[in-house]
Amino acid sequence: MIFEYSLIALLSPLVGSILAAFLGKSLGKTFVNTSTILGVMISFVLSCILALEIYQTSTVLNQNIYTWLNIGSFSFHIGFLIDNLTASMMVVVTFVSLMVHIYTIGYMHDDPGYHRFFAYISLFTFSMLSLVMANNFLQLFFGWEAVGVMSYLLIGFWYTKESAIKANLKAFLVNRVGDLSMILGIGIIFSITGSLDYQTTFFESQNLAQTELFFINEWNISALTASCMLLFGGAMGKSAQMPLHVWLPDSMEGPTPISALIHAATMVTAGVFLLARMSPLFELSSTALSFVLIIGATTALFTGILGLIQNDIKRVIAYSTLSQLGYMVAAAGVSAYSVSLFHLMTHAFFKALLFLAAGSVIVALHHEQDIRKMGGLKSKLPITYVTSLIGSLALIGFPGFSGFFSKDALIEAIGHADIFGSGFAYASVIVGVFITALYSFRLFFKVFHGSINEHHSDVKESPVSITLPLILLAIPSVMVAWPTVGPMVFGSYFATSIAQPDAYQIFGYEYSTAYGFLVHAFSGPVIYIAMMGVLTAYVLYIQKPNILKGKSFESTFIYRLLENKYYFDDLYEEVIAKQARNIGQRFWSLGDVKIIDNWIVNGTAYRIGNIANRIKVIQTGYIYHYVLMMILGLAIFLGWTIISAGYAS
Amino acid sequence: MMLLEIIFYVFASVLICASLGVILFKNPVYSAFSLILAFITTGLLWLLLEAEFLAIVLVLVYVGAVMVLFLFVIMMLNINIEEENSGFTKIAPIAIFLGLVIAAELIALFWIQSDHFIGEASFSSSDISANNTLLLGTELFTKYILSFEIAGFILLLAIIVSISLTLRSRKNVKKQVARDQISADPKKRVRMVDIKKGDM
Amino acid sequence: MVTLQSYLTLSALVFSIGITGIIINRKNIIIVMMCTELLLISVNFNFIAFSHQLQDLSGQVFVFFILTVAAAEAAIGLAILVALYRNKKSISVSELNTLRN
Repeated sequence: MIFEYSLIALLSPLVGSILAAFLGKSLGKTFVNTSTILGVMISFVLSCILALEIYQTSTVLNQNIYTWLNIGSFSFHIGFLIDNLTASMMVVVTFVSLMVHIYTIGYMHDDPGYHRFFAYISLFTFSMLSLVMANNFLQLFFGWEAVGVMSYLLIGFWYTKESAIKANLKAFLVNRVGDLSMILGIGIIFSITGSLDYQTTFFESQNLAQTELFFINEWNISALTASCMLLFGGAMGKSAQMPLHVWLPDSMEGPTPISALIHAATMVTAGVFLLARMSPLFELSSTALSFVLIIGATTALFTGILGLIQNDIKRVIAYSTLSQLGYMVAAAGVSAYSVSLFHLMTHAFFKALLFLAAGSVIVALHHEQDIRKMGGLKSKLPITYVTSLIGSLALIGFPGFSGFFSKDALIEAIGHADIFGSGFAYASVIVGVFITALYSFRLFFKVFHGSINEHHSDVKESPVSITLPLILLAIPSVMVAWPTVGPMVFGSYFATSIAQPDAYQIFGYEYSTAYGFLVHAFSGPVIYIAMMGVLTAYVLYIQKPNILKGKSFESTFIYRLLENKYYFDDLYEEVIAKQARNIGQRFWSLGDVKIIDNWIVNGTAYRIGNIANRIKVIQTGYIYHYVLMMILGLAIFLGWTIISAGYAS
Repeated sequence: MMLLEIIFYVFASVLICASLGVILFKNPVYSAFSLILAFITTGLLWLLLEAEFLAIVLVLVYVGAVMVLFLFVIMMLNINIEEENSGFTKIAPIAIFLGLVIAAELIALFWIQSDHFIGEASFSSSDISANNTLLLGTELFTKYILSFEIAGFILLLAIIVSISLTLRSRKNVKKQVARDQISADPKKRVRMVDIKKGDM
Repeated sequence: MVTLQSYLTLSALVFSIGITGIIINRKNIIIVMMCTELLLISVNFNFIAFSHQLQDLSGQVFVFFILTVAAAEAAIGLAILVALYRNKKSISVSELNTLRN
């Protein structure tokens, strides 16, 4: 039953997507949104049933359904690995996807690409599901690339807008860097274990750890560490970790539902999912774990700081996403995979909520995204206001909200760690809490409080298809953590799918109930730091907004550094992209134009034409000439047969 | 035995002469008659090989139907046989040379691998000579039934193709068009005119 | 004594005569078709000779099918010939050069 359900859950969004893509134009909008929403809804319901079933019976389904190809003794399969990890990811993905589908009805209502958009997001859901349900690296890689392609298509959805085209190209290219690293990692694993199956690979992990790879004579590294680092390289691309984070802020060029679905809730968390899935490998390599931790913590702090000065409503949330992804990765770095996944889940809900609320504001203001032109929307958009407030509170970790449980557990786990880099990481995430609170409420106050802009006096609340998903997402943003924090973080919910090292169990020993956890948190610094952040935002943007105005602030070095996003874009543009273009130019003018075009392609064609011109005279067109040639051929072949028969006898 | 040999050699010579006649006569009608002779001789030789049914089929179908078709076409087209025969002499040496080469090669093939072909063409009274038609029929309608059906379809196809290739719709020929007759509408054909008495 | 090789030799001779006829003829395409019939007959001869030698009826079944197909081929070939004659007013082999251009 589990098997059939998962197959249907996987394929129904695909079916919806195909229907919408090929019949959508002729059958109209109602058909498009009905078919895709139905597909995703079936998938969501089945995912819930699956998650419940798997949790209650604590079974793990690991089954191949189709042999893709056989090469020698290797065979590549398509299969499912459904355990608690996969099931909870499926629920999150399909739920957010369902919300976004409903939201899109209102958001894209007047867009000419309506059916295309629905087809894309359903196809994306299918890709993401095949990524999380995979039981081998090849299928994982398929899903990985497929979500990348869908992200590319959706960022560039408004393909007449130049900035969107540039942004999707950027996202694609940066992801390529990560994907290359990932396939190299898969290649190392495959070359040593001879299998792409997760189970076999994990079984052989000791073998991996003992195999040494040689770089330059004395400097070698174990295959396990190398493959883990390379796999994490893939995760860095997809989850936008520094220094491969540059694509995510630009991806906000796409429509807002996409930002919510792909660039906040699901696709960007694929990297975190990968870390959790590969935890049996990562656990054996402390080097890789430290690397993961430091990258994650750096991302968590420094991208958060960038969010402080952004003026585009979606970009602020994008940087916040980057920062939260940094938190998750850092948690994975200290082996607290379950905390990381827990934060992934809560983050998916409240970040999707924030994005969709931002979208609601954008729609209400007729596609205005600059927060300097907003203000005082509190009374105009009451539902959006309340839901944004819930989302922001969840994001900063206000006690009682879902974000609080995940973030607090996460920070505590990092605090308990003692691997290399954990001190730096702990400091980073603590400062990050302050930063998070500051930028979240800066955005919140600037948009909803203050004086109302006179251009926006006729603003109305968004239609129900937009506000309904907001409300539906606000519910889990508040409550989802209460029942789940116990089993997921401190219990054995993930025991069948994730390696849970003993060291990590220490920090959970005090846990009794969610309420107890809540009370316990008041003894730590995190809550107070967050409150300080909110207060600072209140002072700076509501009480005394003049402090930050004026030239002196905007001309400081730090401001310019942030304005230019630490010069990452310039570095890539000036150093890497420019040199690459230079080399490309050389290869093109020498290799392409001279050798291939002039010599191989045109030269061959010219030579053949020349020869053909000379020998075409033998084609007389008379039938009897052709007959003569045929018979001559017959005679020659007969002669050849006789000669070979003569040798044989 | 002697009798059989005499029969074989006599008819073999006739067959070769008739074949040569096919290619050497200038008048295609003679060529066709020559080919008929070749077929009949072949049929007789097949009788020697105990393929009675096929021998009869060859004479009936080939001579009776196909060759008549050939003759019919030759006469219908009415080619001018007095046309001067250019090129015949020019190409003849090449043609004869190639023919000889192929004959030599084929015969050489039998003799080189002669150990595979050892033995007299025996005239034993074994099973397959008992009732050739019955046996062949049994074989055809059991083991080769599908091929037999397909052969039937090929013949049907041949009929359809030849008709459709040669059929031409000539203009200015008076003929019935059943479709038009059936779909004739009296209202369109006959116009009822009301004639008042005063008009007369 | 009439051996298998006698039959094979006979059929080889008929075959070569057919081949020669195809090449030698420049004027009349009907003769070419007749030569094709000669070739088929010589092949059938081989089949029947072997069938008799090996005491196996399959050879005769083959001949049966070849005869069927050859009859169909002759009918279609002649139909094409008639159509050709209508269009070109000639059935001379040396004038059939439309394969070029």
